Amino acid sequence: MIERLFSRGAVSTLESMLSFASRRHEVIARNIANVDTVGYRTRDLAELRSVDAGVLKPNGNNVDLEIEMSKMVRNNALHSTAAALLAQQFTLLREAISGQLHS
Amino acid sequence: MDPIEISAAGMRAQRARMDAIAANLANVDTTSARTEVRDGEVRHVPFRRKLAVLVEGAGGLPALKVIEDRSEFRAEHQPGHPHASAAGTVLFPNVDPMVEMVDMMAASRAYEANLTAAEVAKSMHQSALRILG
Repeated sequence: MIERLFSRGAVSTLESMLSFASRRHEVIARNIANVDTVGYRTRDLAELRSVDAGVLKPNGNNVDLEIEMSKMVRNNALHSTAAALLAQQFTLLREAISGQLHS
Repeated sequence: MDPIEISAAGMRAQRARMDAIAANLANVDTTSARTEVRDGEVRHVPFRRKLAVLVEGAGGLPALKVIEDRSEFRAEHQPGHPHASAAGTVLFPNVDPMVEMVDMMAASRAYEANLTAAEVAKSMHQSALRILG
């Protein structure tokens, strides 16, 4: 009964958003760590299908620091949005249970 | 893998690169790193430039490989120099300070980028904790 509150609707969607942002940050952090690695090609999560790469450098590396940084900032914004919305969902739930508004 | 771990590996790699650059700059005029005897004559071999190359290691993390720069030494005619050959030629290291400075700037910029990534990971952890209310 109570599981249904968490397994459907906004809560589970926001949970997926959070885990997506965490996994994507890991990939972006790995790209940044390999900005000077010989022969390293920039990567992204498989479900995104396309990879935003920079020009190929003479050492066979195509990680563009500017592209990676902007991806990281956008991903961080997505993560904090999902976290804030999720916190809001739990506040609503608490209000419904207690029957009084939280400030 | 923990993203902070990944960024730390990136920072470690860049710092190791910086170490190699510092060693090169420190030895820019080292004319005798070792000696060798050839044709009965003691010859001084200057410092050879170290090149820090990053390769992909375990878990997609950068790993450091230090190799020697095989380019030619700089030869100068200085017969009075204690490390001169019988012909009066002194060999100087194949280190160009300008190249080292540029490499140093690149390494320091990449280090900062990894640091920023670690800070972002930290802020993501914190915002996840705030869900608890």
